This record gives sequence, C-alpha cells and structure tokens, in this order.
Amino acid sequence: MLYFSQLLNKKVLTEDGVDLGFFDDFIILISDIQPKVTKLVIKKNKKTIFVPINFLLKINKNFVIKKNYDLANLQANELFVLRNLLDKQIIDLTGNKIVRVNDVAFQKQNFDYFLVGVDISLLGILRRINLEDIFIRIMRFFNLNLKSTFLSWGQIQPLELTRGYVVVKGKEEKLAKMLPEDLADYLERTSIENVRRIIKLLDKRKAREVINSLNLNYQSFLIRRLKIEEIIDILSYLDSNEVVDILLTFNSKKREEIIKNLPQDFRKKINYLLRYSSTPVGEIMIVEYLQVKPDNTVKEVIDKIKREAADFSFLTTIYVVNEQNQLIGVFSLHELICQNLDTFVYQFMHQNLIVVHLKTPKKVVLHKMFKYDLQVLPVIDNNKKIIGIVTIDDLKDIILKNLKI
Amino acid sequence: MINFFDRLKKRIIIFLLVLGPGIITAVTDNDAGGIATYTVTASLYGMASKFLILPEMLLLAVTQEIGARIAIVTKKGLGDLIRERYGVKLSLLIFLLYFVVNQGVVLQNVSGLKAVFELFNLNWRFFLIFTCVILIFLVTLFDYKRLQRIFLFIIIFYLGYIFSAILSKPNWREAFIESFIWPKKINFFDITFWFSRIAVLGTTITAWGQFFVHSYIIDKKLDIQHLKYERLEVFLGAFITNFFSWMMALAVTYTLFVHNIKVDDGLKAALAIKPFAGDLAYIFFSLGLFGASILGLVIVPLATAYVFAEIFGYQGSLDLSFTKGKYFYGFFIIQLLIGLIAALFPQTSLFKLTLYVDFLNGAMLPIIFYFLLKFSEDKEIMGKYVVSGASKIFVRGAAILITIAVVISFIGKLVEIL
Repeated sequence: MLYFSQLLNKKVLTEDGVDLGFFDDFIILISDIQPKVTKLVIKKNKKTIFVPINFLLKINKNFVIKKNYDLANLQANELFVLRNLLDKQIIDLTGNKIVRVNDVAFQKQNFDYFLVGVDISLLGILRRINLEDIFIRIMRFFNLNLKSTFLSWGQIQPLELTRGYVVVKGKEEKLAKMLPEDLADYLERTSIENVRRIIKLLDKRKAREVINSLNLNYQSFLIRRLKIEEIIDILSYLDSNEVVDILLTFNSKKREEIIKNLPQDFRKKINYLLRYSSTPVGEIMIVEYLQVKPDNTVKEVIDKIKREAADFSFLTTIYVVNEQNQLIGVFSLHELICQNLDTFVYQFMHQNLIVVHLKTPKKVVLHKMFKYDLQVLPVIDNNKKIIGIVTIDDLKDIILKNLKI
Repeated sequence: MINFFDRLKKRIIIFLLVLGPGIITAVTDNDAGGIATYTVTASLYGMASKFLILPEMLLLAVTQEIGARIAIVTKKGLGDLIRERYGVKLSLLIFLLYFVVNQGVVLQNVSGLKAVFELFNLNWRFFLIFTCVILIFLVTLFDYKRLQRIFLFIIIFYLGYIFSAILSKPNWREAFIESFIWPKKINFFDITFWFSRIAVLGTTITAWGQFFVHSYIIDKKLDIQHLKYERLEVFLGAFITNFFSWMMALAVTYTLFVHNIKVDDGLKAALAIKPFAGDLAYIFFSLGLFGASILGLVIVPLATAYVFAEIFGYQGSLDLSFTKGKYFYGFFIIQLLIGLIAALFPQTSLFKLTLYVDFLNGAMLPIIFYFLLKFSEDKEIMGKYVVSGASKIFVRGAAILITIAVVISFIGKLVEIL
C-alpha cells in the first residue's frame, strides 16, 4: 500500500538520472470500480507537466520514469488526487459532515496503480505531519495497537467528486458498518492485500459473512495466496459447503494438507461432504440443519434453535426424525412460532414430505422447489435418513444461468 | 406610496432575519479584555484614547465584511478553506495557535466575571462555577435560534455603559472634539499614547472575531440573496460596538481622567468611579462588564469549536444534539473548563497572561488577513463575487494598516518588557 502523503514531493528522475522535478499529484480516471492512476503530475520551477503512468518504472526513494517519456493532457473524467480529493470534506447523502480525507491510499497491481480508498483516521493526519511512527510506537507502549480506518472507494460516489464533493453512499458512517455483501463486492475489485487487511480488521462474524459472499473464483484466488494457518483461519469462518467448494479447486495433495489441519469437528463435517461431492446434489448440499423428535414440545424446539442453530447461515425449516433417525415430518419456523409453547411437534408437523436424493439432477431439485414453493429441501439416503439440505441459495447459479430477460 | 412601504417592510423583515452574526461578533470584541484596555487607556488619556475611532470602526467593518462575504458565497468556514487549500500541516499549526490565543481570551473573560462577582460582594467561586455550568447547559441544549436570542439579549447589558456615561456628567462638546477632531489634552508626540492607541485597535479586531463571524454566518445558513443585508448588519455591528466603547471611555474620562486618577486594573475601575458618579453609575458599569464577560465566555470557546470542526471535518453547528456534535461541544466545554479552573487558582498572573495573549493575537492577525485576501480575490472560490477594483485596494489597505499597527504594538510591548 502506498500513501499519497508519502509520495508527495518525492523527486522524479529518468532512468538515466535526469532530474525532472518533484512529484506533485496523481491523475486518476473516475470510475465506479477501482480508479486507475493514469498520469503523474511533475512540478518544476512552477511549471507542471503530465506524464502517463505507463512510463513510470518504479517508486522507491524517488520516482523513476523511462527516459523517452511523452507528455499528455488532462482528459474528461479525470481528476487530481491532491486538488480534488485530499483534505476534502466527506459528507453523507443528507449533507452531514463526517470527516475529512486525511490521506489517500494506492495499490500497485502488476504494472498499474489503483486508488483503493481514503484514510479517514487520526493516523492519516499524523502521517501527513510525519508523526505517525512515533505516535504508533507511543501507543504500543500503552498496549494500544492503532490502525488506520478507511473508506473504500466503493463507498464514495464518483459523480459527486467531479463537482467537488466527497459524498458517501448511504447514511452509514463507518467502514465496519458497511453491509458485508457490499464490502465483498468491493473487495472483489480490489487487491489481495487489501482483502487480507480488511478481513483482519473486521470481527470474525462479519468476516465470515464477507468471505461467504465472495464468489468462488475469488475465494479460491484469495485462499491460494495465503499461508496455511491463514487458510485454516478463514475456512473456519465459512459455511461447510463453501469450504468443500473451495477445497475442490485445490489439487488433492494440498487439499489433504488443509483438511489435516482443520479442527476435529470441522474436519468430520468436511470429509462427510467431500464424500458426496461428486453427486449433483452432494455438490451443493449443506449440513447445517436442525432435527427434532416428534415428542419434543415447541419450547424445547425453540431452546434447541437458540442452542444449536444460532450461527446457521440459513434456517427456515425444521425436520422431525424418529428413533431410527428416519425423516418423518417437517415444519417451518412460522408454523412453530404460531403454536403454544407446550404443544408437541407431532401435533402440527407435516407428514407428506418433498425430498431429494443425492443423485437427483439439480434441475429437478429446482423444479420441486418451485412447484411446491419451498426454499429448502431435505436430502435423504435409501434408508430415509437425512444427510443434508439443499437451499435455493445454493442453486442461484443455475437460476441465473437460465434466466432469460 | 403603499408600494414603497410594502417594500420597506419586506426589507426590514429580511434585515431582521439576517440580524445576528455581525452584531454579536462585533459587540463581543468589547469583551472583558477589551473593557479593561479601554478603561486603562481612558483613565490615562481621556477621550483622546478614542481619537481616530471612526477609521477604526471602518477597519473593523471592512475586515468583518470580507469574512461575511466569503462565508455567504462559499458556505465554507475559514477553517474549511485553509484546510482544503493549504493542507494539514498549516491548518494544524494555525489551530494550535488559535486554541492558545482563544484560551487566553476565555481566561480574560472568566476574570472579568470574577471581578463582577467581587464588585457585588458575592461568593465569586460559587457563582463562577454556577455560571459556567449554566452556560454549558444552554449551549448544548438550545438550538441556534434560541441561543442567538440570548446573545442579543445579553447585549442589553452594554446599555449600562451609556447610563453610567450620562451619570458621569460629561462635557459632550469637549469629548467630541477630543475623539473625532483633534486631541488637545495630551502630548500628541507622546509615543506611549500611540502604543496604547494601537492596543485598543488590537482588542477590537481579533483573530477569533474573524473566524467566528465566518462560521456563525454559515451556521445561520444564509443565502446569497442575503449578502446585501448581511453586509449592512456587519456595518451596524461595527457601529454599535464602537458606540459602546466610546461610551465606556466617556464614563471613565469624566470620572477618573478629569480627577487625574490612574487605574491599572481595568476590571475593578467601577470601584474608582463610585465616588465621582455615584452608586447607580457604579452598578451600571459593573452590569456592562457582566454582560461583556458572559458574551465573551460563550462566543470565544464557540469560535474555537467551530474552527476545530471545520478543520477536521466534523459537524459543527449549534443546532446539533450533543451526541451528534460531540467534538464540537466537547471543544467548547474543554475551553470553558480550562478557563474556569485556571481562574479558581488565585495565583495565576492575569496581567502577564493578557500580555502574551495579545502578542499571539497580534501575530495571528496578519496571517488571517493573508488568507482572507487570498480567498476573497480567488476567482475559483468566489466566482462572480470576487473582490476586485476599488474594494480590493481598500481591503488590502485595511489589512496592511492593521498589520503595521500590530507590528508596532509588538515592538512597543517588547520595549515595555525589556
């Protein structure tokens, strides 16, 4: 991560050492996704020139650019970082002032530089006056570990920027308050370092939701670049079927290595799912379901939900099994809540069941869901034992693929 | 004819609508510190201490007007503009300086209030704490509109100076000649007279006043069509302020100066007036000081809080609830409390402190005028309301004049100390 404040006023040299002046500004191309840096502004003796970014070789103590560089002009939809973004007031949709842009962060990806977000923390201010390191060290002495807080680019309305306002989408004020799905959306367009950093900043629950919302490509992309301990850490946040999906993108050797390191409970669950993963339904099945006995009371069921299902990502239906663990009934949360606390489950459960098997094609599963208006179906084996559930969420991809609008 | 009255009525209503920022800022320039300076100089030089009061009034009006104009056109505070144009380093430095200067001014006003309570033989410790608590509650709980009514109401206390001036039975003719035409009663080439003259200018035109008029107008949410009326209001404010300070000088001159009594504690001057002008004048004079101290005690910390919010980009408005404006109100409360605590320790030497505060204030003024000029002449900021032509020369002249005055008084004070 590069901070704008640390780049400002660095010397700009050509590769053969000709002094071109000082780095004065970046020019970025405004877009909804990560804005790309297009040009750098170099100032020498009050004269400024714009040099396209593709002539930039490296940034270390100085900026080094190719010797046969060209000049360029400002184009439509381009903005200056220093003049249009740094130090500007950030406001929300209703015009409330939130804070100012204290610093701007950039990220190098291959040969391009992207703007990833704006620093809105006190550290940003301290960095500008060269006191950040000292302050962090002092705070560490008091056992306080300070980190910058960012506003991601996804939260800023690019159109308003051209009019001189940094307007935040929505009324939310802080990064952590951002919806996980939005943040995931944003993260998918950002760099891997950014993801790791942001995930570390979030609390575990939130981090899990965010990673869950990322698409599979991105999940495996993310995980491939991490150390094994970090992978384990992240996988433990995820739903079991997502973990299986991710594991299947690895080769068998690496897969074994990861599974070996998983916590015991989790490993069992994963192995169980992996076993079924070659079948159409097994691939999308999850094992987070709740089963109760017919002679349980409503109160007992509710207690069980609180005890066991608190961190399920999905719970709409509860299954009833007999002594042999065979599926004999089903009821929804809605039906449960409408009953008295001392009513027995067998008094209100449905006994005509809609089920699928491991080898049922996905299309048939979907048809059944639509036909009977169900969001979730139980998966049973030949002995009528329940082995998992399929939710409409996990069939999203097929629905989207076949959608003709 | 009816048409004319209708229009006049409409205009008066708009004027009453914009009424506030100019008058409140200007009158608060006559805070406890100001009164102390006016009193001491008037006891030394009589009405000659108000010589050149008319150009001084114009200077105040012009400098406040330029702030009002930038505020209404840009809807951004001076703090906002400095941060956006000059970055973190400079704005942080200015804020630190500003905070210290304002803290000094707050302390002056707390001592003013303390002096009033002592004049009335009250338990000053109790009443000082009591007043500060009340002020904190009022500012945090009341919205802009109600607070402004309170501010305007407090100005009524200044009328006390008019009454005590009349009770001192002044020689009006002489007073006019001394202050407006030519001072005959003093040695015109006495250099200390000129130093004191500049000191008076320094207490009238203040750093916080420049920031405050700016922020306060924005908080009032005035529009560009109010610009004309707001300028009028600023000029009215400058007039009222100097009118009051002239009355103060009158009350002191025809009691102390004519009897050749020199006071060095401006805040306790009311006691010295008593034998010459009677109990009533004494009470009025003290009430004036009371109003001035209260106003200074509220306005100056608010001026700090506004600028803090502007520079760091937080919400800063009197209309906010405490939770929404916790930084804004927080700074107000901190500055008030520091002032209160410092005043509760009797060993703090206020005289020395006042001196240093005036120093810093003087040092800040040229910087602030530099910014005011820069912003008001920048077409990118001001658009078609950019200051140019004759008014540009006038404003620049005013700024240069004040800067020279400040530098001279700097040297004067240095000489005094050494």
